[in-house]
Amino acid sequence: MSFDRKLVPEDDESVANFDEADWPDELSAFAEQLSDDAAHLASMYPASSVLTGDKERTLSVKPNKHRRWKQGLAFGGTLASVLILAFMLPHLSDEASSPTDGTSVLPIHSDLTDEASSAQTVSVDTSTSERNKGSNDTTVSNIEFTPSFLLLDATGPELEGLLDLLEHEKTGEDTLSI
Amino acid sequence: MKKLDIDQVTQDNFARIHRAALVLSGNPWDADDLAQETFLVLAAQADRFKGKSSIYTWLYGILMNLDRRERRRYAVRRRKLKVLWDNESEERTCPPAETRIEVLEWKKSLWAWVEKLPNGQRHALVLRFSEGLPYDQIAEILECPLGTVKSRIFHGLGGLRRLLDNEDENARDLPAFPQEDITNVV
Repeated sequence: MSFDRKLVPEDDESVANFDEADWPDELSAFAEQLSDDAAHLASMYPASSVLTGDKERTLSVKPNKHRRWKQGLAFGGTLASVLILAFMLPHLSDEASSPTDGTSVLPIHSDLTDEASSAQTVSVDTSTSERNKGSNDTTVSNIEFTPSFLLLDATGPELEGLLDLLEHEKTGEDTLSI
Repeated sequence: MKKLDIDQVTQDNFARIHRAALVLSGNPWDADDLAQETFLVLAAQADRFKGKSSIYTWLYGILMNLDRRERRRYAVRRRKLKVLWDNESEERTCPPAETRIEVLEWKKSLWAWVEKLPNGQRHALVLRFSEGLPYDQIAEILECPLGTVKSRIFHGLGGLRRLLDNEDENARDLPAFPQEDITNVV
């Protein structure tokens, strides 16, 4: 089927020469009503002041002080996490290579007192240790872990939270149970 | 050609574009989106403005194109939502998911009837009676001859009269929503 370009009606020549003054009264009334309604709607729902001439609130993208402060805080937090991880990795590798018996307790920090370090241990009944024993006949029924192992899987914010809690632990006010 | 100051153009023209968008969309939220998107297009395509016409006629042209696009999208979205809604077995007493959001002031105005007219007539009526633009500028915005603009406006008003004459029939044909719970209406 060929395309019929006359599907869209052509201009009505008789109307094209009309002026609004020639319109029937009814159409003029509609026109007036439309103008009034549009003005009423515009007064009811004016455009947002953000974009209508308020110089101080234009769409600028200048970073404000608050945003800069937040960025600084986020950067500081990330840096602290990286430093802590860098500090702890050598300890962890040492701990992994050192032989452990069933009752050994791994310290989190070397400067912690015995009392504090024992307070920060978590008892875990590990069946995996029995699985891994292989030819070794020594039965390990109860190995104690410190939270330092758990920190390997912790995300940045979790790490910060744990460190905050451990800081409290040092003072002996709170305890951490995992 | 002088480079456009986008901030200045936005401050000078946002209110008028928002007003036209409000009449076209029927609610201030969609009007905000339409108006802001118009100025985003302006910011992205400012180098295409050759300065042969007023900046606001160019902006109205962008707005009308965006409105056409939105109506097409809305029609598709509405069909999809209708299918989903109709497939629900549960009886509901709230409006269907595809119901348009309109503010009461708009719903009560003549512009709610203009919405039922074809796009060409609707845009011509908005530019003439909401924005008060002369015919030659409307012709420039809609990219059609002057006679076509006059014809669209005349026939648009005529169509409006027919719609209002048949208002009762239209009201019967288009209930607010068929499953409306009116048992608690005082």
